[in-house]
Amino acid sequence: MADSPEDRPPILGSWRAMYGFVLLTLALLIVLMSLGTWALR
Amino acid sequence: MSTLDWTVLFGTVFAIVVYGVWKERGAQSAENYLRGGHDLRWWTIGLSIMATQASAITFLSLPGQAFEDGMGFVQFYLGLPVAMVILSWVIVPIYYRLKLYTAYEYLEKRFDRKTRLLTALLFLISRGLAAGISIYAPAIVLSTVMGWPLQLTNLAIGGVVIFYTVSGGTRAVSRTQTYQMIVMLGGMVAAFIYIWSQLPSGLSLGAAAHIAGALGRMKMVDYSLRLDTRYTFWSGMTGGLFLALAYFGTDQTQVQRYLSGASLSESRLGLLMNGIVKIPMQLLILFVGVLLFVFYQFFPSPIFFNTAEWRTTLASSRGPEAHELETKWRVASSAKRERALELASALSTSDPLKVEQSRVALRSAQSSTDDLRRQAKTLVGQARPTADVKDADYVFIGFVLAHFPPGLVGLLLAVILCAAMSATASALNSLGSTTVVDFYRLYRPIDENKTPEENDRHSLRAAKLFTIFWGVLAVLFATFASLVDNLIQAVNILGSIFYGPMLGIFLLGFFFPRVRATPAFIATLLAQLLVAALFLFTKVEFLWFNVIGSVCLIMFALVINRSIAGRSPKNRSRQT
Repeated sequence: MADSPEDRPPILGSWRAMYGFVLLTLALLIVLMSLGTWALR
Repeated sequence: MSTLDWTVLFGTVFAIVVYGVWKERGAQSAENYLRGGHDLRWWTIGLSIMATQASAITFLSLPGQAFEDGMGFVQFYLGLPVAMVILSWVIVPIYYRLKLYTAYEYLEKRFDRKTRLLTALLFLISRGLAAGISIYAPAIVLSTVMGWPLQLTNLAIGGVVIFYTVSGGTRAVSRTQTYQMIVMLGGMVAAFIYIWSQLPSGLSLGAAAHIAGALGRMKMVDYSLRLDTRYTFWSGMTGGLFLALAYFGTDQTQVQRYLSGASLSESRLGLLMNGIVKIPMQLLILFVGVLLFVFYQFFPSPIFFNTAEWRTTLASSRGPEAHELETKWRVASSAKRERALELASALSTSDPLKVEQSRVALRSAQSSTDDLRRQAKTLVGQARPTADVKDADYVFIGFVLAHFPPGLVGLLLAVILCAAMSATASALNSLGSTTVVDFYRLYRPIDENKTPEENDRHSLRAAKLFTIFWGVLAVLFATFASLVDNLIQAVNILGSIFYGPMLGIFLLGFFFPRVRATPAFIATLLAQLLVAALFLFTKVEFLWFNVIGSVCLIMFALVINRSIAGRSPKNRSRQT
């Protein structure tokens, strides 16, 4: 769904950037948890 | 419990309720009561969504789960952030465009009334029963460890929730949940810091994590493809994703939270906040359990954490065996403590060979104590066949009561009560709304002889009365829950059986515009039967019910839609 001017997130400027940020955070958490699992096995 | 603890406990719980109701006082309309007035900002929505999902069992069970099996449970939430993105991107804009009160209204607009009513009914059954459990589950634990009367605890939790949910509606629920969630997060951070401070002096957090890791408690991600393992990366990313989509996209307890936002942006941001914060929050709660596990490597622990039940075993005909087991437990725990100290010392020297030798020795000592704990659980079951032999729910609360300083005990009990109340409030709020919007209003349309204000007042009164009805039912259910064995498990299974097809019918509506009403309805019934059969006749793990239920529903609907379209007179004339 395209961003209308009144429906833009207050941070990062666009919803696509917001979704990317959430998914990037998830990817980072998975990497950190995998490294933690490996280091503390 | 000290006077300070009682003050903190009641002060926190009642201050939140009274302030929440006071803030939302004033004239109410049905719109306001059901949809919250559309002025909530994203952080209120985000915290409210999180508080709705965090039941008391989250705080009682998760540390115990990490204590027993490690951090692997966090994988259950891996699909959640992806689900939040899909919801924000696709589903929430549709709900906003249609100006819905409940998610089930969408199904009538997209398919027909019978599909809407069937899905709303499935929601009322599963959520109505679960509301009783969200009161009963913490009440049974609190009454066991605190000695509080069980029925009075049920009545107190239920009574307070009915009061503020009915008097303030959706806005009061969201408002109180914001403060309740802050108390919950603050309480768990305080618990984490306190348990950390109680570890043997000189033992760093890193060394504690190494000790937990040596005993298999730090396995956060499991990439194996084993279907018999409940929590893996793959089950989290697929089953967890479908479960989160079903829960946040089709369950009115959650849909009502974000539909009360000031705008589409606020609702979307609230959901995305949940997507970012949820996994770190679960990691924190699970790590509290891991720290407890490390603490008990160095300090004496009970052999069975439900100490009231263990005392019953000691007093039973199995008493002599239980006493003998306790003696063995003390010896084995003492030996394990020595091995744990050796590993802690080896970790500080950074000698890899010494570390490895100490790890092997500690693992061997742990397997001896694990074996003794298994024997203790068997003994508890033999002493009283109806006893619950799982004691994981008592690990954290038992530690809080035995070791936490005055004030902090009250705060942690407030965390558990806040969680019980926030989950129950969302449930009652959504049950009342669904009953009015999806059933009552359909069969008692607006009276044209009355003014709009009079009709609105009538709707408001009906919504409040139905909320009271569901609240009383939940309390009654909680009151008689102890009479039925394995009730909690039965209600949870019922919920997971309904979720897959519920998600499937919504996905069908969103992504398959050609499928018509009757094929969708028949497919819903067939998918529901299939999932029930899978539960009854196979050993498929419940997380997969959501994937199978929703995917099969879509496939059934597509096949039936095509065959009906193929047989329609219009198509026949086109073929000839």
